[in-house]
Amino acid sequence: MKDLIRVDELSIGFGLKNWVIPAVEGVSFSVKPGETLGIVGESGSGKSLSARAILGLVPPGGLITSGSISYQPESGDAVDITSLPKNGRAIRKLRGAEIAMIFQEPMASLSPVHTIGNQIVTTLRQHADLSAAAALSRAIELLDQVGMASPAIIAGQYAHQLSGGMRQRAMIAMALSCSPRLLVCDEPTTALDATTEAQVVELLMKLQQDFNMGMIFISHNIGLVSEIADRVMVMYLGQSIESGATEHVLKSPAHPYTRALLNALPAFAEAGAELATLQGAVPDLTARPTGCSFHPRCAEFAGPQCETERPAIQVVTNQHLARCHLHE
Amino acid sequence: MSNALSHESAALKAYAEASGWRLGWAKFRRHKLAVVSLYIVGLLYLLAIFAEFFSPYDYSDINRRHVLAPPQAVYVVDASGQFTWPHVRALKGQRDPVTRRLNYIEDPENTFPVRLFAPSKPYKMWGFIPLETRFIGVSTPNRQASIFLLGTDSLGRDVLSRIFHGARISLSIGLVGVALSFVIGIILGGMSGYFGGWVDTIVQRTIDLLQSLPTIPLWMGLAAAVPPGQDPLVTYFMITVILSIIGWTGIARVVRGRFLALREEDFVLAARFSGASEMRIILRHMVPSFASHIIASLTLSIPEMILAETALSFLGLGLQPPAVSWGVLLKDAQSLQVISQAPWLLVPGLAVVITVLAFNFLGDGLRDASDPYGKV
Amino acid sequence: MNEPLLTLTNVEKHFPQSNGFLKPAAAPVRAVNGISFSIAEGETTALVGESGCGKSTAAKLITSAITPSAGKITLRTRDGNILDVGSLRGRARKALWRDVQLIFQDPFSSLNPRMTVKQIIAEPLRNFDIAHGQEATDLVADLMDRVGLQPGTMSRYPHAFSGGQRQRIGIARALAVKPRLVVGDEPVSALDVSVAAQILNLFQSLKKDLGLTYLLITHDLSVVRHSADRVAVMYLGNIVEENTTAALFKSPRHPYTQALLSAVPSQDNQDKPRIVLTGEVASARNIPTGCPFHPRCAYATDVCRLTAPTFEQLPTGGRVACHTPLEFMP
Repeated sequence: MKDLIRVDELSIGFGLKNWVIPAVEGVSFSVKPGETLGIVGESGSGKSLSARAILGLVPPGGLITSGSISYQPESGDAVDITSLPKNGRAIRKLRGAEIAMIFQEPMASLSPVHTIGNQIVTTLRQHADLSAAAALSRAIELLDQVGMASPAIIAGQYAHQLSGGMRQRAMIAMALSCSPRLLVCDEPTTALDATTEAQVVELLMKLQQDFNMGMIFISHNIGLVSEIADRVMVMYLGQSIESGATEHVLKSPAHPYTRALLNALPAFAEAGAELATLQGAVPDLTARPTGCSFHPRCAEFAGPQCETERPAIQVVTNQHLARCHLHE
Repeated sequence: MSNALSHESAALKAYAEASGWRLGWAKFRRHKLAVVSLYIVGLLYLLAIFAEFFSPYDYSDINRRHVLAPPQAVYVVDASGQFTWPHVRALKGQRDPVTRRLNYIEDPENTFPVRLFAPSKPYKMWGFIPLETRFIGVSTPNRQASIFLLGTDSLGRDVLSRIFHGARISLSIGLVGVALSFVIGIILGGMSGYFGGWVDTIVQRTIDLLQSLPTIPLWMGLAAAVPPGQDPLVTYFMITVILSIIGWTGIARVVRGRFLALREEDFVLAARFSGASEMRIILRHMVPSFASHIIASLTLSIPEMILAETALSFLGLGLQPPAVSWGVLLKDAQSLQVISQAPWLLVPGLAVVITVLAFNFLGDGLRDASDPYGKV
Repeated sequence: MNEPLLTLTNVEKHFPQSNGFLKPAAAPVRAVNGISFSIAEGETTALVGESGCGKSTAAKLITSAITPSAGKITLRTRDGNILDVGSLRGRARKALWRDVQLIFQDPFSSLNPRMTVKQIIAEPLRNFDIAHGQEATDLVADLMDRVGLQPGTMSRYPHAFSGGQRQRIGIARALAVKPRLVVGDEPVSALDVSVAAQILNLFQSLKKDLGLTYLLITHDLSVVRHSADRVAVMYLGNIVEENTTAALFKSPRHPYTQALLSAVPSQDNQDKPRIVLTGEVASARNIPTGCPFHPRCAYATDVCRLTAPTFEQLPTGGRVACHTPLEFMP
C-alpha cells in the first residue's frame, strides 16, 4: 500500500537574531491508510512541531530548514507540503478536508461565540457544496457518531456549556466533518480525566477503523501510545531516536533513552521499588549537548564517540531503527 | 557535582543570581523609546530644579523695550558669510505706520556672542543661594543686548525662562499629586483587595462614583472652595489635593487587582504554611511582587496630573499669576489674536506634549519590565 | 497497628454559591460530602479521584487552608496532644503547620520569584524560630543537599531552575520544619516522566530516612500503585473505596474503582479490556440521589437509585460504599 504521508529528513528551526536553533532535526516517518503512528517524547522533543508541520502549521518564527513532507492524495501525484505557500489556497484545501488535527485544549480551537453545530456547518460548507439544511443534518449525524447522547441539543450549544470530554468529542466531530484521510492528534487526552480519556481513546480507535484513516497520535504517555499505535517513534531533543513496531519498541527497546523512559514509569515498576531515573533534566534547545544529544543523561555509554560524534540511524532488526552508537 | 558548578559561565551565574529588579532593568533597557524618554524626563526635572540657573532671565523680569518680541535665532555665520562663534542679532523695534503695531527686525550689523556660564545680575538660587552666573546669556553690557530664544510675552518677559520656571510647578505637581494619590490609593486599594467583603464593596462603589462624575465640573466645584487671594503655595497645595481626590481611584484599582491576583498565588499560601504572619506575607511576599507594577502605573498617572493642572490653570481655576506654571503660561495664549500675532506663546503647550509623551513611553517601558519573568 | 496520625470523621465542605445581588442563591457546591479516613504514622496514604471529586478540597481542609463545614479533623501532634484541626483559626494554625506541610502541584507558582532559594527555604526556619543567621544558612545547605540540590546554588533565584529542581526547592521548604505529615497535592503531575520518577524516588528515600508520613493527592493511579501503602478512592465528594494498595489493585470492590484501574496501562493489565464508563461525572452542585455513581454504573439496581450506600467494612479487608460490591478475588 502506498504511504499516505511521507516525511523525509525534516528539520525545523527557530530563528533568533543571526543564529537558528534547531527544534526538529532530520526526522523521517510515514503513515499508511488505516495505520496509527504514535510519537512519544518529553517536553521540548519536537513531537508537536513535526506533526504540525504536516498541516503547514509551523508557528511564527519557525522555519522548515530542510526535508520534505509528501502527501499522497486519493488520485494524482504526491504533493510536497513544504513547498506550498504558507496559508495559501492549496494548503488550506488540504487542511481540514484531507488532513485534520485535534488538539490538547479543545477550548483553544473551538469558537466561543458560535454554537457547536454552526462551527461544523461552516467547516462542511467550506469544503463541500452543501445546502445549510443538509449541512446541519450532517453535523448532527457527526455529533451522533462521536457518541454525543443528544446530538441535536449539543449542536445548539456553545463550547463553554460542555464538559472537557464533550468538547473533545465536538472537536473530533469537527475534525471528521470532511472525512479526512489523515488525522493528527496532538495530546488529545492529556487534559482529560482517566475515565474520560478511556472514552475518547476508544472513540478514536473505532472511528479510525470505520473510516480507514491514517492517524498520528502524539503523547508523552507511552502507556497510552502502546495501546493505540501500530508503530511508535520516540523523540528526544528534536531527533527521532528510535522507531519501530509498537511491540518491538516497548518489549525490547533499543535506545537507552526509551529503556530509561519505560523504567521511569511508575506503572511499569514494582510497587515501592526505586524507579530507574534519568539523571538531570531535558536540556534546553539552546544548550544541545555535543555528540549524541542524550549522552549526558545516558546510563549505557557506548564509548568516547558518544561525546563527540552524532550517532546515525542504525537498523536493529527488521523495521526497528535506533539512533545510538551501541548498535553500530 | 561542585565541579559542574564551577564550569558554568559567569554570565549564567549572574543571570541565576539576578533579582527581579535586575531582570526588570535588563528588560527595560531593551525598550529603546522608554530609555530615551527616561533621559528626557531626567533632563526636564534637571531644568526644573535648577530653573534659575538654566534660564537666561528672571521669570518676572519685565523688558519694556521688547514686548511680544519674536524668538531670536542663534547664528553661526556672520553677515559676511564667515563662520563665527554662535551669536544673536540685536532686535530693532519698528512701529507699523498703519496698524501701529510694534514689529521687530534683526540687525545683522549689531551682534552679541552667546556665552555659556555668562555673568548676570545677581540673583538667588532657590531664594537663598546668591549667584551671578547663568547657564546661557549674552555678555555685552549693552542695553540692546538680548537673548529671547523663544520670544517674549506681552510684558516683555522671556518665554523660555518662564517655561523653565513653570516646569517647576507643573512637573512637581505631578509628583506630589501622584504621591498623595499613591498613599490614598494603596491604603484603600490594599484594604479593598486584602479584606474583601463589605470593605471592598464600599471602596469600589466610591471609586465608581468618583469616576462617574464629570471631571471639569467637579474641578470647578472643588476649585471654588479654594479661597482666592491666598499665598500661591497654599493654592498649589489645594490644587494637588483636588487632583489627588480624583487621581487615587486608578491606583487603588491597580493595587486591589494585584492583591486579589496575588492572594490566590500558591507562593502566598506557601508563605502562610511557612508560618509567616499576615503582616510579613503582605510586606515580604506580596508587596515586592507588585511594587514594580505600582511604579509603572504611577509613572503612567503622572502625565494625567500634569494635564489636569494645565487644564485647571488654563481655565483660570488653578494657579493664578504671578505664579507660573505651564497652564498659567498657556492662559496667555487663549485668544486667537494673540496666537496670530505671537504664536510662540503656545510653546509651553509643546513642553506639555513632550513631557506627557515622555512619561507615557517611560511608563509603557516600566510596565513591560515590571513582569521580568514573562516571555521575552 | 500504628495509632493514626490524622483522623477525618464525617468531614464536609460545602461552598455556598451566590449568583450576585438580589438573585436567589444557587445550590451550594458540595465539594466534600462526609468523608472519614485516617492516616497511620509512617505510611503513605493516597487519595485518588478525577478532577472535581473533592480531593484537592480535602488537602486544603487537612492543611487548614480552609475550614470544614461539618465534621472533625484531628491530628496527633509531636508532643502527643490531639489537635482539633477544624477549629483552628488565624495564628493558631501555626501549630498545625509545624507538623503538617504541603507540596504544591505547580512548581512555578509555588515559589516566590523575587526571593532567592536560600530565602525561600529559610522562611519557615525564621518564622517558626528554628534557626537564624549562620545556623539557618547551614540548615538550608543541609536541606538542599538532602533533596538533591547543590547548596552552592542557594543564592540563585527560582527562574534559574528547571521544573523538577523547583519541585525539590518546594520539598526542602516543606521539610524545614521537620514535619511529620507531608501532603502532596499532585506533586509530580506537572513534571516530565523522567523528572517525575526522580521526585517519586526522592519521596521514597525521604520517607525511609526521616520517617515521614505522606498523604498523596493524585489522579494518577500508576503513581499510587508505585508509592502508596493505602488508597482511598473519591468520587463526587465521597470516598467510595478504601484499602491497602495491593488489595485494591488486585481486587477492586467498587465498580468505579474497577473502571478507573482498567484505564491505567500497566504490565499486568495489558491484555485486559478497558472498562469504558458511559456518561459524565455529575456536577457537585447537583449530586444524584441514592448512590452518586449510579447513573454511570453498569451494575446499578433500584436500591442504588434510591438510597445512598453506607461506607462499610468488608470481611475481606478494606471498606467500600456500594450496595453490591464486586466479588472478592484473592
